[in-house]
Amino acid sequence: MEIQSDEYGGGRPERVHAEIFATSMRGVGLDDTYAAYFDEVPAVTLASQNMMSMFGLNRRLIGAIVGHLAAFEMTSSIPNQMYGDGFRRLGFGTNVTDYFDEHVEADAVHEQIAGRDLAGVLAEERPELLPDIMFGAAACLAVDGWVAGQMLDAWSEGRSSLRNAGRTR
Amino acid sequence: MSEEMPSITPYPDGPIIVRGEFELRTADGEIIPRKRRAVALCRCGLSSIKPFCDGTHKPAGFRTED
Repeated sequence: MEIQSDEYGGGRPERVHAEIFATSMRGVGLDDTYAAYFDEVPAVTLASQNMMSMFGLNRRLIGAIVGHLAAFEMTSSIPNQMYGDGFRRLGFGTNVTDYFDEHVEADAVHEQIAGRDLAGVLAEERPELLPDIMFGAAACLAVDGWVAGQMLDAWSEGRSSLRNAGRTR
Repeated sequence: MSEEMPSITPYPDGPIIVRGEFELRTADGEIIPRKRRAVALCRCGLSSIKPFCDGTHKPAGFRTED
């Protein structure tokens, strides 16, 4: 609940994280329409989102979604700081960096809540779910690692990580 | 929620999380604006956004004796 409250802006519509991210997208000249880039992103990017949705939509996978959330929150503060610093280095303003800066502070809180209060307590109360929790956490790190690896490989070879790169929208 | 008692929880190998109704102030007494209901305060001393935690305790290998 504490994490969801933050994600939805603590009751302030302009602080809903999806809204702040949309502002960041517009700030770098991207289209913030829903699924605007659906056909552009590679399969691994969709796999990452689909896996998270699959865990979250199936009650029998509750251990996996909790493990996924914990691993995600526990590994996001520092990368978000790097994203924010990167955009600042390239001369973008707070309209773009706000989303990332927000997550440095927010995810430092969520890390503790998701890792200890949520996943830790669930593992203690329902030890039979421990393998699912660990699976969800490992799956998060593995699949998101593939997504990042795909992008970094493309960039280090001097090409876009997107499909149909070069096609004008 | 407006009269919620504050609570202060030190998390093992991590920050101190403060919840409830409270005010954060600088040494000069100025109120530090708060963007969320629960905040994580740096305990390892290495955060770049002090007094808040930025997760640096993990790569720094910060450990508490719990």
